[in-house]
Amino acid sequence: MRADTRADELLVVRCQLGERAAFDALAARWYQPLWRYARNLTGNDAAADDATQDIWVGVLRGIDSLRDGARLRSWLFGIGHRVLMSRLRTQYGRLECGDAVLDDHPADDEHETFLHELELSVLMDELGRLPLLEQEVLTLFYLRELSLDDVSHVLGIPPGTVKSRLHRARKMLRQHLTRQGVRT
Amino acid sequence: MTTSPLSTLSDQELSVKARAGHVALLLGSLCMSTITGSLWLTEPGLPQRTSIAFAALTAMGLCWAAYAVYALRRRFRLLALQRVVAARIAFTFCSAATVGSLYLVVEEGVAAAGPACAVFAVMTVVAGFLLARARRNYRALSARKAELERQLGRRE
Repeated sequence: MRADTRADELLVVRCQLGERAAFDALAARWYQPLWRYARNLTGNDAAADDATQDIWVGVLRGIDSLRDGARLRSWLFGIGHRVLMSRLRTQYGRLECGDAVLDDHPADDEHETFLHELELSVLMDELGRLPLLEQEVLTLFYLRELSLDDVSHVLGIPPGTVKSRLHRARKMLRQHLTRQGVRT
Repeated sequence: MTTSPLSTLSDQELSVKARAGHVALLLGSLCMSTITGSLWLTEPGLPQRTSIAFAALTAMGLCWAAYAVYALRRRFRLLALQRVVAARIAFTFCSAATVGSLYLVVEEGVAAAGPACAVFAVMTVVAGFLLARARRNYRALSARKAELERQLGRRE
C-alpha cells in the first residue's frame, strides 16, 4: 500500500474516531482536487465553490460509513460525481446521466454552456467542449489520475464501459483538437 | 481558493451540542412515552379525557423519538467516541429507570409501573448491546490508527 493511501486511511480513521482536527486536515488535503474537479465540470468558479461545499457536507455526513479508508479518493470523487450530476440535472432539466441521452453533437447553446473560459489552455478548452460524460471520464482518469477501477466505482458503471467511454472521449477530443489545427 | 468555508461548515455539521441535544431528546421522549403509555394502559377507571390526554402524550413522545432517530441517522451521525458516550448515558439512564420502576412494582405495589419496567428493561438490553458494539468499534479504530501511525512513522 502506498504511503499517501495510508495517510488517507489514517485521516479517515481519525475522522471516524471523532477527532475534529482530522476534518481540517482532510479538507486541507482534498479541497483543491475536489474544487478543480467541480471547476472542470461546471465551468465557473462560483459554481465550483458551491458544489465543493455540497460535496463537503456529503463527506461530513457519510465519513463514518466509509468501510475502507484506503478507498478515500474514489469515495470522495463518487460523492463529487453525485453532487455535480444532481446540480446539473437541476440546472438543465432535461440533462440525464444515461449515455443515450447526451448525443454526440449537443445543441450550440447547450454546448456553449460548457465552454471553459479563455484563460485555460487549448487542451483544457477543448476538453470543456466535450459532452459532459466524456469530459468527466477524461477528467477523472487523466487529471485526477484515478485508476480504471476507481473511475468505475465513482461513476457506478462497469470497467468495460469506462474503457469504451474513455476511447470515445479520446477520439472526440482528438477530432476537436485536429479541427483547431492542433497536432495530436 | 481557501478551505475556511469548509472549516465553518465542519463546525456546523460536527456540532457536539446538536448531537448531545438530539441524544437527550431521544432518551427523554422515549422515557416520557413509556411512563405515559404505561399509565394510560394500566391505570383503572381513568376518565375518558384523561385517557385521550395520555394517548396524545404517548404519541407525541414517540414522534419526538422518531425525529431524534432520523436526525441522528441523517444529519448528526455520531462518530465513534460520541457513540460510546451516548450509549453509556443511555445504558445508565435506562438501568436507573428499570431499577426505579421495579422498586415501584415490588415495594410499593404500583401496578402501572409493571409495563414501564418491562419496556425499560428492554431499553436497557438494547442500550447494553449498543454500548458493547460502540466500544468494539472504537477499540478497532484506535488499533487501526496506532498501526497506521506506526507504519507511517517507520517510513519517515
